[in-house]
Amino acid sequence: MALMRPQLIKTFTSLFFTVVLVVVLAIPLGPLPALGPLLSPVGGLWSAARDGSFRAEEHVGFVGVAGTVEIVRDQYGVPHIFAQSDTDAAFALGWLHARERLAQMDLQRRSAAGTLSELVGPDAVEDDQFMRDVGLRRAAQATFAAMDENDPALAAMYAYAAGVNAYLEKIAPNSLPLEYKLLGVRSVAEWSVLDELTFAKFMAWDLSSSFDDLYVTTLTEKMGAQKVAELFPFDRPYESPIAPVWPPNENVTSAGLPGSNQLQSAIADLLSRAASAGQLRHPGDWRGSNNWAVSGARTASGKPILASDPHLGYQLPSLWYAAHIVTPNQNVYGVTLVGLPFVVIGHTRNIAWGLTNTQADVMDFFTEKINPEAENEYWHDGKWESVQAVDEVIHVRGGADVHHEVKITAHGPILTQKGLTVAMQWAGSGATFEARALYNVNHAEDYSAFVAALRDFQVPAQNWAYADTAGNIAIWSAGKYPIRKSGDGRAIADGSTGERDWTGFVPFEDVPRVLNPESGYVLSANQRPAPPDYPYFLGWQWDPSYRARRIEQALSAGQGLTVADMEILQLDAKDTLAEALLPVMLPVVSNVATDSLNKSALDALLAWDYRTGVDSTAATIWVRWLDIFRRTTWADEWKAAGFAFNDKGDELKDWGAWGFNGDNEYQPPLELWEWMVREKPDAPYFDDVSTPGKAETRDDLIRASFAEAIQSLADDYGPDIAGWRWGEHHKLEVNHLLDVGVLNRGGQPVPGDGNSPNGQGSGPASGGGPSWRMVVDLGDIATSFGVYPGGQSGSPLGAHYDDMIGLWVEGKYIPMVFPSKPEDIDASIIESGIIIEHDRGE
Amino acid sequence: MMKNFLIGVAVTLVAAFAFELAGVWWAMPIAGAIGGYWVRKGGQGFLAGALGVTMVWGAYLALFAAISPLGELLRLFAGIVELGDALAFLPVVLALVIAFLMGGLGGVTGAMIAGVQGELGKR
Repeated sequence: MALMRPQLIKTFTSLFFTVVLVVVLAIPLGPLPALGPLLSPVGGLWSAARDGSFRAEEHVGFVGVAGTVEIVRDQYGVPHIFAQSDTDAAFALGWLHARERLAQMDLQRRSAAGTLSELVGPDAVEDDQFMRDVGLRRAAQATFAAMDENDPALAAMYAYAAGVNAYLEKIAPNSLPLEYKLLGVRSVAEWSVLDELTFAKFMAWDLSSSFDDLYVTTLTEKMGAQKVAELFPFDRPYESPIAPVWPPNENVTSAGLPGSNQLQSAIADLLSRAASAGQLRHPGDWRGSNNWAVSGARTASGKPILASDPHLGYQLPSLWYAAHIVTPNQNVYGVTLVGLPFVVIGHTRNIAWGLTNTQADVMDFFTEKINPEAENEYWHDGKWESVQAVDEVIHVRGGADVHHEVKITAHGPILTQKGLTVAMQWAGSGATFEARALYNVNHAEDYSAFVAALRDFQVPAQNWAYADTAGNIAIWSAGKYPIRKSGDGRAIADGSTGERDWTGFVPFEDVPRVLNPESGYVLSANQRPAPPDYPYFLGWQWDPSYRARRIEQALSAGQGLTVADMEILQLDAKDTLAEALLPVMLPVVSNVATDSLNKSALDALLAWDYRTGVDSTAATIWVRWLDIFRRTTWADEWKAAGFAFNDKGDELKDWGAWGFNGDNEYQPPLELWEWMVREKPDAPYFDDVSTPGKAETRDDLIRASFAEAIQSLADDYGPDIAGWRWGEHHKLEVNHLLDVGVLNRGGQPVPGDGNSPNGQGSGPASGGGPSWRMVVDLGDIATSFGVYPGGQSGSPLGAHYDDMIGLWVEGKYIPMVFPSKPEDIDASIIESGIIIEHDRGE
Repeated sequence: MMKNFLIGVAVTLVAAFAFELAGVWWAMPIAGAIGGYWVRKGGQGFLAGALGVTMVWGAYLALFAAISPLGELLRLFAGIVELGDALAFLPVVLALVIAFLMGGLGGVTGAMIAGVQGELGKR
């Protein structure tokens, strides 16, 4: 045995080092995944080189399809799906979405459901806990439970899920996309109808949630209800058909809440949780949308034209995925959201529609009085009621499961118990049927079918612009608007009394709408949906009306309009706020702009046509001047009220951006300020309250802000005004969802600002704006056009990852080719074809 | 002697190919061990295992390079992990080094096991 000992030692030594090597290769190294599986030929990084690729001709079989599906992909990667049934078409769309955008779909459903921890580990647990509290998955489950099992929309969703899972079965675990290789993940959870409904809820949440109640509550505490009513009026000046009111008649009723410290502690905790989970908007996250339809009386063809450009954050992979679906029951083309089997904005054979967000107030916060004797009880409407507790289990990759208890009152989930107990009520928390609405809109061929479909569209409330081949144009602001027992719900309310409870929702018959107006056009740009005498309170967070103002200018003057005219209007960069204010502001500085730089700047503004084109220096000067003038009007009041600002002094600390539009920042609505500048030069708010011995006037602020703007531009961009071109300092930013530099795109100069129809954030990086531009000619629906700043593929190695960005930047569109059968597609635009056949599974 | 070495390499090749096909990267030392067991000498066992596994991984990577835009992928990966274009080839080198080490260590272990078995046989 002694003779064998050296041999044994050598053997165990080599075995030991072999095992150590394998273990080291199996362990992730910091942010990098484990090198063993990453670099292994099969299942490793390498197969990702084929992500996003299609062969010229493919033939596949699946048990999940009943008949043959033919898919023709055009030169932009847009699939034209020809199927013998709606469910086969939905299957094919699910399969294509998964093939092109799997990681995006997975991330989206996990963000919505609060299951990111399963993918990325303990770092995401707090975010997941917040999203579990919000309860989008529970809302999706409620919707699922309430849907009729024979609902064709549900059948389409089942088929879609089967298509996604068919793809997963074929590729997992070795050929998952690059994102999974980098995360070291080798399996993707099966796709379900619940995932689709949860994602639909996520979109609803994204477009209708608002934490502004917390801001208004704090404002009311710090400034008083009267001042808040003055500065944030329900009826704003210049809102058609609104007449200016000063001071306003309405009052914000004080919330009557317990002490400030407790309240501020609760608000701070809630804001912190929402911000951490990425659910708080920030200045610069610019949003807004336009849509309009003109009747045949104003078009060259004698038939309506519809235009739609929803403004959302730019991202890669793109939010949208264009698709054309043809079955015996439908022929629909437009943009889909990956994760859902429906066209969201598009057209059928005879109708077209586009969406803008209503921005209605459908989310309230309530303080709850917890029973000091029993913490699972709260006082509501005269009695103690039980808090419903839900045990949410969060699976954590590389860690133990986390149990998170969600507490729910009659109002909704409790989001904080720091200082005070605050619950959130949101119109989307229960069962809602947007999926059914979209399914039916995708099948609608006339006005009555369209309106019948909208009855089911509840959250997020949307302004649906409509046009059809019969000559109708319309807008319906369809949605689920709460009716409150009392109050307006724009500040945190005492939930114990029951006096601020929601008692129901605005009946569908009463939602704001307009059909075939005499003007010959309808339009929306997130402005107030209904006039002041509308019998229901819908909200107050409308976008400034400048985009709407410009669109109305163009449409009201338009005759013989064409598709090209509508494209020009979508790309229009005229800032109507500048048009309204510069005639007032420029005379004030004309005598004081004496040095050459100020004189050059003044000359540029005097010669300006108010268009924020990429070559305009005046646009750069105006945007900076506007920003400083607004800030100097309001910042002193906010500082005096005790708000803290960031180091630069342009944003409130810890508040993100209030409102649906990131450009709202913390300040009162632009129209109110415009009215003060134009018609109330002696408004007390122009006085700087931090200089008690001195009474500043509007003109003092105009002069001082002009000087500061010119100086800051010279500091930033140099003393030569030629270097101040808008396009030099206002560039496109399309970031990847993972925000990895090499995957991001952009850098091209882009025209437009937040007050022009071609809406863009006004900061140096424009990360949000027209996420899809579409113009549909109801006179010849087959020659309609669309484009979005991205591409069909989610793979950075795919040919269609970003191929539409250049077109979008140049203001070009792609034809929305609309054949009713595959043979009608011009061969020159075909990139590839796929046949999916039924596989008997034998 | 040479014959045993070549057979050891071939045996490793076959085993590594089979394991890789099954997606079991951590079994590469076992493939090497099988080859090393055949060779029975530590140094040669290391070399047989290392060469066998490295050749299989290398062949796979060559195949990927032939049928897909591997260069683009490598540049993309280098960008993501902030290596820079100049070092984009690093994952390939790293993969081959890992294959070499796994196969080699497996090979020497296999040879040692064969040695122990031989000793036991003599007794």
